[in-house]
Amino acid sequence: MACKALSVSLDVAPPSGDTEVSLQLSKICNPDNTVEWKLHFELKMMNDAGTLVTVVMLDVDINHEDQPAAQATANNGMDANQRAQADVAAQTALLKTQGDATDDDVQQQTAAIIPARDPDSPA
Amino acid sequence: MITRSAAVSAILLAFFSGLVLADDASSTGVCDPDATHYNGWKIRSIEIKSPFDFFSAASSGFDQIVSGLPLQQKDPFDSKKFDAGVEQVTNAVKNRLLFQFATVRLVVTVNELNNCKEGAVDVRYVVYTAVIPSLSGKSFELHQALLERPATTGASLGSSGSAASTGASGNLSSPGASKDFLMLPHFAYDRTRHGYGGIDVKSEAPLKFFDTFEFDSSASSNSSLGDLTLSANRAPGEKYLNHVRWQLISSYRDLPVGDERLKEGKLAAAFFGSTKELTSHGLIFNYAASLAGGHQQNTTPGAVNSSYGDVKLLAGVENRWGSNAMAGAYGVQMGSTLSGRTVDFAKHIFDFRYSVSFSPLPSFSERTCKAGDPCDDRSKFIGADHRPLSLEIRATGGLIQTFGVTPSAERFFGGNQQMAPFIDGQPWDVRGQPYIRSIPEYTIGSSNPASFGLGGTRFYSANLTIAKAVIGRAILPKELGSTDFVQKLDGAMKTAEGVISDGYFGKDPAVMSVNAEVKAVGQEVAALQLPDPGSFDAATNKRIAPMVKATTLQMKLIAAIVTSITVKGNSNSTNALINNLLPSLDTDITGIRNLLSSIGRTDLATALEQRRVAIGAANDKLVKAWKPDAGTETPIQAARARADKKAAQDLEPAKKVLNTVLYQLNAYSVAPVGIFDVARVWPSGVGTRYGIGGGVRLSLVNANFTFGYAVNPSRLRGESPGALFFQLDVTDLFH
Repeated sequence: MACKALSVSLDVAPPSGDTEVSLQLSKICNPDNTVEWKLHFELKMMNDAGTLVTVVMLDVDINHEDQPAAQATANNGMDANQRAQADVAAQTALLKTQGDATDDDVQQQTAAIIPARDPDSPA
Repeated sequence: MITRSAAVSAILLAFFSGLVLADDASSTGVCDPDATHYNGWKIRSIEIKSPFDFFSAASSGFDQIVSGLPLQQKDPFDSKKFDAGVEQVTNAVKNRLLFQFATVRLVVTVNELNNCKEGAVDVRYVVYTAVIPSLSGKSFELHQALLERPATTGASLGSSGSAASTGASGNLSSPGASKDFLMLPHFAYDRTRHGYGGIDVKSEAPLKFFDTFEFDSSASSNSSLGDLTLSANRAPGEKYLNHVRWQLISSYRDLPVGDERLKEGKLAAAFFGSTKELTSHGLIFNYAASLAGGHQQNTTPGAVNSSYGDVKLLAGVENRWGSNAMAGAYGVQMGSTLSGRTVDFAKHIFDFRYSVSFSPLPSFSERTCKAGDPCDDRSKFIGADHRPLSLEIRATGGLIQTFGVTPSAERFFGGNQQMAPFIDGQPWDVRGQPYIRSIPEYTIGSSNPASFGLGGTRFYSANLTIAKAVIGRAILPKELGSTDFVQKLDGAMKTAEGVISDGYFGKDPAVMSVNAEVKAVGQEVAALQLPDPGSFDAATNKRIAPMVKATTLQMKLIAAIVTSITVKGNSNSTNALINNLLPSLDTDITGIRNLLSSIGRTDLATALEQRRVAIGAANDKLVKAWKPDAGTETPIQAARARADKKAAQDLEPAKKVLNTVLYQLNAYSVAPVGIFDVARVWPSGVGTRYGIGGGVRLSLVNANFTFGYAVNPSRLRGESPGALFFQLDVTDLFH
């Protein structure tokens, strides 16, 4: 079956109002009909002034071995492990602003969101 | 003032929009699913389509997005650029959708090729948007709006969450224009007021306590009404205060009532609140209070023309289940003419509504079927024509206790006045007057014995409306059902549910009780002292420095996560602590320890090992408190189940709305309508009045009409044999 490009963007604002999560999964079709997935992740948190500000905004290419997890995430949503890893990525980004982490560190933690999926979560 | 030509324009606009949709449906030209086959072909056209195209807020700016796509019409077709456009369209559309008062914003884009012939292709990007409002306490109003104006209501919900939090009676506005002035024209005919029209103007108000400014007026040759409202809506999301609205409203009315006129001018402050869905049946409770003062008069000789003040209290309950919706309310008003007596009269109002729509829904259930399996029948409903049968029942009653003087303007007048809010500007439709469609507005009660004065002090009315769509076309295109769109929507909603669940999870006492173990882990990690790389020779320094750096980051990250869990309540991150961060730290410490041992620094290695063991012990305690033993449900699992349940309840109203839009909504429909009304007002010198009739309800894209005729079988001398009822409203004609 021919590959079909797809882009799903989701923003969630929990009732607490102190965070906002944006997740975008894009499925890209290569000329040889192979598939690539790209993750755009953005996290906003409320600062002391009560304004939501972006603390993480990253685009990550998903490794080939993680593509089943990406497909499962697009179909079934992020599981608890992935949401927890998203918090780690956010905290790494905050450490970067204090000079305690690098861009690579943030990239690495964000890239770990998709593979953090619990193997027992729906595929 | 709305003229005939404006109304005709609206009809034509709706008609031609319908033609455009019809043309889309008949597009032909089968293309190979593999787009690479067409590399180098000419591009005939590039367009972005939305199922809500007819709604200008949903599609405005698409041309601008097209002009910025990687693939341009002047270029030869390139499948890579064609696919790259999918993500770009998603981003651009998302940035155009406001995200106020909303829980979830979803944008899904797919691309497709059409008319692949004669060396040229048509390029199309199909965008579906859903902006799901935070839980609205107006589920009945939304249910009615979806029945009476399906296309515009669906499109409004698909365009912005802010749409569902404005207006009364399900009149939804265009969010795309919310920062500008939004104008909603309306026009109607009634024998009492004759032909009357008006305009509702809304705008964001940059005032400290208010968000919205609204001016709503209507006038005819013998009447005028006008409201000026400053209001604010908030969604605190609390169990007993999920939504709140406050407003300041100045209203004026000058109406003919029989041979006399009623005039009233008031300034009122009001507060409206709604709970979340409570009880196992998902009931939403509404409550309101209003304080008003002003002046009233009527032209009857000897009638009281006086200052006036009142306090109103309102309590209501509403629910939606399946295709049913109900709402019930009780209101009490204590009024005074400010002439010495504290309370001149007390008015009591009871209003009950029930509505059901018989329209098939998918039988899919997650409990019995896996998404995507053959038993998943949801995609078959997308794009299928819908012909719902709807039944609407309303029963209203009122009683006035008179202690002094009850001004005529506050008494009961029956007729076919469609809007008769108990509190002006109320976000829910609670009637304060009897309703009967066979008799012109404000007629019953206007011919009382002269000794009594105008208006009744008791009434009841009951209304039945049955409508069956005989022609209908689905709002969503069939193509959407053939993609894996439904599954992606499932994924999005589950992510939203998970994020909301995490918020409840972190506040659960059982989860918070594990904070002690989390803090203990944090303290053990904080006590870790890493060797100074500078204290070693150059070769060792080179090896140990990156290890120390990585471990330091890991320690800081653990400290940040511990704070995130224990201070901010992000307890779900305990999973990351246990599964990822602490094991990584253990590996890092082990690596450094091994290196130190290999260079003979056993003193440092031993100290490090002791700390590793201490951290490991704290971690074991945390894991024991957090992770379940096989076969038993731990308090943490139970807390997760509770949080999931609450999150599911939070999203349930949004899911109901989404399911209606996906599987039941028409872009246009024609439905014959049958009505039966009964009403009585005391004292009026006449008995029970009836109304029997029929008409047609048309929903044509962005215009909604209901017109018909109701016979008055027990007419009095001078009354007409019945009354024509006609209503037209056009959503967002000017944007």
